[in-house]
Amino acid sequence: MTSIASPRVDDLQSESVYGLYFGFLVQIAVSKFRVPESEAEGLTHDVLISCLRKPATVPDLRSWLVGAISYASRHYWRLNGRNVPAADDPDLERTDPAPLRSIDSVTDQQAARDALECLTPRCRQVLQMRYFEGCTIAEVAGRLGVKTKSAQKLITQCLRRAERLYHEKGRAQ
Amino acid sequence: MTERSKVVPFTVRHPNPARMAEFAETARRLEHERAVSDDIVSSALRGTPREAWATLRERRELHTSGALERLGQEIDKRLDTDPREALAIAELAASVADALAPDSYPAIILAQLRAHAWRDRGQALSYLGRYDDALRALDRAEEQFQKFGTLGHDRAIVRFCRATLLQHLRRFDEARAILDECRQVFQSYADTQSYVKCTLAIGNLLVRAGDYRAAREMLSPLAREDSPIAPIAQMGLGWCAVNLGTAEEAIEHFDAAGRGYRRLGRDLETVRAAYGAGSAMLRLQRFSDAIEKLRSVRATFLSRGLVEEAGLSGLGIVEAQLVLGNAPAARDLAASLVQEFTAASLNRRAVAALAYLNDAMAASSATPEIVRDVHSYIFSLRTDPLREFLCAN
Repeated sequence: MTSIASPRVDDLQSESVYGLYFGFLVQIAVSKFRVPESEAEGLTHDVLISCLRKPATVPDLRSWLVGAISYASRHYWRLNGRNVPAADDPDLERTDPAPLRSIDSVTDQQAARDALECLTPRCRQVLQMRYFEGCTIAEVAGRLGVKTKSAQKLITQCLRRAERLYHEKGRAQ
Repeated sequence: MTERSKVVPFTVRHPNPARMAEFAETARRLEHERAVSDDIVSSALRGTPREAWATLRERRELHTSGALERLGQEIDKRLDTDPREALAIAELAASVADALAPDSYPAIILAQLRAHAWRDRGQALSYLGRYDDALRALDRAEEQFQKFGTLGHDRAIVRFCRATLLQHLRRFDEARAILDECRQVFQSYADTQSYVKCTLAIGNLLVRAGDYRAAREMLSPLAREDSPIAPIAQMGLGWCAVNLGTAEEAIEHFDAAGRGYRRLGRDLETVRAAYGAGSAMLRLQRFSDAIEKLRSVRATFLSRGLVEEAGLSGLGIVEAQLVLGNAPAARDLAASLVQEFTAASLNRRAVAALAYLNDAMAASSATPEIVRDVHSYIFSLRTDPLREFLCAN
C-alpha cells in the first residue's frame, strides 16, 4: 500500500471536510431517518469515503452528501425491515436549503432551543414532525389535515421563522 | 418528557479519530495515485501491442485506483472511435480491479473500483453489439453494491448504462423504469449533469418507442441549452418532427443539430444530422434537394466505411429517383447497394432485401413504397437482426 508521509494542505482540507460534515450527516440519518446513532456514524463514514472517488463529478459537495446520506439511510431501513420509499422526499435537500444551513452551523444549542421555544405551537409541532420524527411532507400534511402543498409552505415558513429567531437569540447571547 | 426536552434535537458529534485518519490517508493516497497514473497508464498502453494488453494486468503499478480511473478515461475516449480497443482496455481494467487485494483500499472504495471497471466492460461490449455479455458484465458491476447501500450514486451510473443497453434491445418499458429511477437518484444528489443526461436518454427512448409527442415535450427544454447535449436533443426533435409530419420543422432541428455537432468537432454526427435533413426533404417531396443532400451524406459514410448508413442514404436517393421518373439511375444505385452490402459482409437478411429490390427494379415493378419497406426493414435489423423481411407489395 502506497504511503505518503508528509502532510499537505489538501489533506488538512480533507480532514476539515470530514469534521465539517460528519455531525451534520449523522444528524440527518438519526433525526430524519431515525437510523440508530452508531449505524448512522458508520453510514456517514462510508458516504464521506465514497465521495473521495468523485472529486471531479461532484458539483455541489454539500447537496451530494445530503443525497448520499439520505439514500444510505433509506437503504439501511430497506435492509432492516422498515419500508422507506426511495427518494420520496427530495425537498429536504432542495426546497429550503437556507434554513437547513442554520441547523448545520448550530454551535449554540441554547440559542436553537430558545428559538424553537419562541415559535408558535403549530410551527413547533410542524418542525417536530418533519425533522425530529422523520415524517415526509405528505405525512405532515395528513396529520395536520391540510394539502401537501400547504404543509410544504408551512414547513418552509416555520423554518425561516426559526432561523430568524435563532440568529436573534444567538446575537443576544 | 417535557415539551422542552422533546424539541431540542441537536447533538454535537465528534468523529471517531481512527475513521478520520482512515479518511485522510485514503484521500491523500487517491490523490497521489491520480497525479502519477497518467504517465504510468499512457506508457503502458503505448509500449505494449494491443494484442498483449491483457498481459499488463501483471504490472503492479497499474493496481491502483488512479490507474483504474485513467484506464476508464482511455475507454471513454475510444468507445466511439474504436470500440474493440475500448473493450481490450476494459477487460484489462476489470481484471486489475478483480485482482486488487482485499486490504488494498477501504472496502467501499474497492466496491466502487470494481463496479466501474465492470460497468466500462459492459459498455464496451454493448458498443460492439454483444448485448448478452454486456448484461452479464453489468450484473457483475451491480453485485458490488449489495453490501454498500451508501453507493446510490455509483449504482445509478451503472443502472443508467443498463438502461441504455436495454433501449438497444427495444426493452423500452424496463429501460424507462430504470431511467426514471436513475433520474430521481441524480436529482437527489444534485448531480445536474447526470440528471440532464437521464432526461435526454428518456427523450431519445420515447423517440425510439414512437411516442413522438412525449419525446418532444421532454427534449424541447434541452435543445435550448447551450451545451454539448443540445445537438443530441435537436436530433431527437428532428426525428419527432419527421414522424409527426412537420418536416419543415424537422429540417430546422437537423440543421441546428448539425451546427452544434460541427462546433463540437463531431464530424460523423454532423453527417448524421445532414442525413436527417435529407430524410425530412423526402417527406416534404423536395426530391431534388433530398437527392443532393443524401448524395453528399452517402459519400461521406462510404469514405468512413459505414456501409449500412451509406446504404440507408442510398435507399433515400433511390426512392427520390423513382418518384422523379429516373428509373435507370435508381436501378444502377440499387445494384451498387447490393454489391456494397455483400462486399462488407453485412447481415445476409439485409442483402436479401436489397436483392429483392434490385430484382423489382430490373422487372420495372419497383415502387417508392417498396423502397421505403426495404429501408425500414434494414433499419430494424439493428435491433432485431433475425427479423424476416415481409414486403407489403
